[in-house]
Amino acid sequence: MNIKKQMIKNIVLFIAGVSLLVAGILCKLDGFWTGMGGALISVSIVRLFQIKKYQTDPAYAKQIDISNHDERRSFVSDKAMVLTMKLVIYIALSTGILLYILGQVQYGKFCMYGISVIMLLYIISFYIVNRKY
Amino acid sequence: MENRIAELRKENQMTQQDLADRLEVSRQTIISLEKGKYDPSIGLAHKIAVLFGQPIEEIFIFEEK
Repeated sequence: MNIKKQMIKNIVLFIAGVSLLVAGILCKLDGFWTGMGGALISVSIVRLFQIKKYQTDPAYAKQIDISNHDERRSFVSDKAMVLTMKLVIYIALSTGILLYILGQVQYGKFCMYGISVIMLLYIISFYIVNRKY
Repeated sequence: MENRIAELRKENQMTQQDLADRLEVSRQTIISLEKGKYDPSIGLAHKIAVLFGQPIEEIFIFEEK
């Protein structure tokens, strides 16, 4: 794990969270922004504690390194990602068809456009990955 | 793909966790390998072969489909 990079990333997240929270309270912004600030603060604090433990506890560091580089885990993650994408396409397709049948043409079109965007992104990604390997 | 990882591990008196630590993978990976549910990358297969001091083809049984 790149400790320095992770540390900087989480400090930036923490500062962004505090800024959102303070701005939300002072400027009486929508609850969404203060909520977002609170969430960023919580996540970044947990991550910073984990980084601290990684630096001070060699057994924990080894466990994290193995977990991050475990090839089966990457394989499972990629498989799950592919399955998720297929499910999203099938669900959007059936929802789109159902909406057309029910006369909700505008919403049906929205689903079909969504599928088109996903397929376009897939073709672009395939082209990029295919060139790389 | 079938393999002899469990057999070789027991011959070398290692636990699944010992083997996982030596190969720098998770114990779950060793369990899946031993059950034949997961086929390792060529890199991991090579590491296993080196660890047990045997050629890859002696550990992994390739089946023509």
